[in-house]
Amino acid sequence: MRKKKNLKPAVYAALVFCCLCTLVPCVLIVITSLRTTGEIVRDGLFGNITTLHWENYIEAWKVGHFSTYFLNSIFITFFSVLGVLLFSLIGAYAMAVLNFKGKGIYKTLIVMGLVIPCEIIVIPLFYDMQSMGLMDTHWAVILPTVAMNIPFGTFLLSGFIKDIPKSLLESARMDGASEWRTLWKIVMPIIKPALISLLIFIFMWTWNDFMLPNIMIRSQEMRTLPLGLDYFRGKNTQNIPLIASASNIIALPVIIIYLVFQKNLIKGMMVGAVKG
Amino acid sequence: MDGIEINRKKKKTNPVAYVFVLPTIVLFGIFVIWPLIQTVYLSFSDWSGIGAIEFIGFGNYLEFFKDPQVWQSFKNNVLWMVVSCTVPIIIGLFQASLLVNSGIRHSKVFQLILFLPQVFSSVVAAVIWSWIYNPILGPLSSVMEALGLEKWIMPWLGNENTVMIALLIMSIWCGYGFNTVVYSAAIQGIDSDLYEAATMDGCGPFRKFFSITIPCVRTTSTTLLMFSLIGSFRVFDIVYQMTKGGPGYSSYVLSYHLYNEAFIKSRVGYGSTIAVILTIFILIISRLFLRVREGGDEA
Repeated sequence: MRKKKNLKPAVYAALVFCCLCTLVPCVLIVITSLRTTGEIVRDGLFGNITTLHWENYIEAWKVGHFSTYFLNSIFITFFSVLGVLLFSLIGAYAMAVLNFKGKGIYKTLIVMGLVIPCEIIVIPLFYDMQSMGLMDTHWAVILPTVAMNIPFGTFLLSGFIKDIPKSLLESARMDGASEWRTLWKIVMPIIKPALISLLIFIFMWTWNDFMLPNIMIRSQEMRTLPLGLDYFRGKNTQNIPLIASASNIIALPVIIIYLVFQKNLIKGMMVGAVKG
Repeated sequence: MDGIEINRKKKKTNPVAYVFVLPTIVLFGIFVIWPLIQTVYLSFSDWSGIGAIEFIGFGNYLEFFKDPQVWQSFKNNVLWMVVSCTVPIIIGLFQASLLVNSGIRHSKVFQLILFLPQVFSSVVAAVIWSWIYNPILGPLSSVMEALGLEKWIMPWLGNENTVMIALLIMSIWCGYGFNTVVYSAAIQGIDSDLYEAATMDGCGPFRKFFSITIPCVRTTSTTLLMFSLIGSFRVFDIVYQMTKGGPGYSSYVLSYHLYNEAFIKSRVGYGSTIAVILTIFILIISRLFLRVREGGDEA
């Protein structure tokens, strides 16, 4: 016991050090975003900080068309999350509770979907989207995103649905409730925490995704936030404070969501990783 | 009679199930299975994206094994794999055992901070790190100047000897938070009696870490190793945004090579070949790992 007490300051020191390593890059970019290139060239990054240039954020927002990108990201993320949640929920319910022919094949499909990397499908997908006339639309990102994330969603949710006592579902059936009603009134409320975790996962992945939108989206007014930031970086290579402001504008909503839903996110990840 | 028959039917096949799985099958079929077949099909052709598709047999596959860029990419992927299967996992395990086992307060706050880099888009991380590595005005060079290490300042991302190290440090920063959180869950799941018994026997914290924590989180370790292994062969965003494979080909990786061949050089056939081989590789690795893990669980 005495040994343990002696070690505590060392533990705190180690953890504070780890946290500093994590936070310093973030703090640096915040400091940078509040300076001007002229100041940095003259005084160095940390020297002579007198005024904070919050106007960088306003300028980045206006010059970078970020309001358009924001709306695009919201549109794509909303429909991707909705699609994944809805289709995974009903698919997982069928897989965990209902009997049907071909259930084995369906399970194999889901497991296969878990390991297929997006690289193997992205090349022909580009040409398929062209021939479907969906190229350079939001749907060219939404539909593949939904399709690729359903296996993960189904896998996660079916694990939770299996844990629901069978008698509960049986009694609902006895009362003459349809499968839709059972799903809606009994299953949904029970697995609500899992649904929220799934929602946050898919939100983060879609909101931050770069590869798929980068391939499917061509025109400026269709870009998502990460694409817009990438483009903005390429155009304003000299004005680093402006790039830093733009980057913080994009990071902020995700940080807020992370802080609000941290419990669900971390719990969901723990369950997902331990079960998987 | 009627009742029994309906009952038996219900047990056999519930038609509602087909309605429930239909959207998944349609979407998965159109946007995953079909393109997958097409990629394999295209990998035997030299299609350039327009015109008729002509088959060239195993030509692309032969080219793949002779392509110097493939070997450069493969070397970098392996380096990436070695680093990302060790450093972030060890850091994660270390941090998690400090968070859970040392009885400190505010462990949730620490966890919250450590996980933060995970929530950023790769583009945001690229903005942060390419600024850190900026050799003229960037923070790293300012700090080194203040410490009198001017002669070590160099364009880290523009020098072929340092570019991979610079990218790997960034990827470690992006990655350890996830491992920390998952390990925290695993360590919390360990029976606390084990630790108590060890304390009674006079074991110190280090002994407990090596004799209890590490063996008990074995399954988690293999899972995380598998994620890291697969992830290290799929790395794309960091390379695309930080260096575009440069300088020269010194930070090329397979995913970037694939992207470049298929979408920049319009060599769709060859790009598909890289995709097929990359996928086969990933599938073999995940199968091997699952087998190792299941074998370990039985023992």
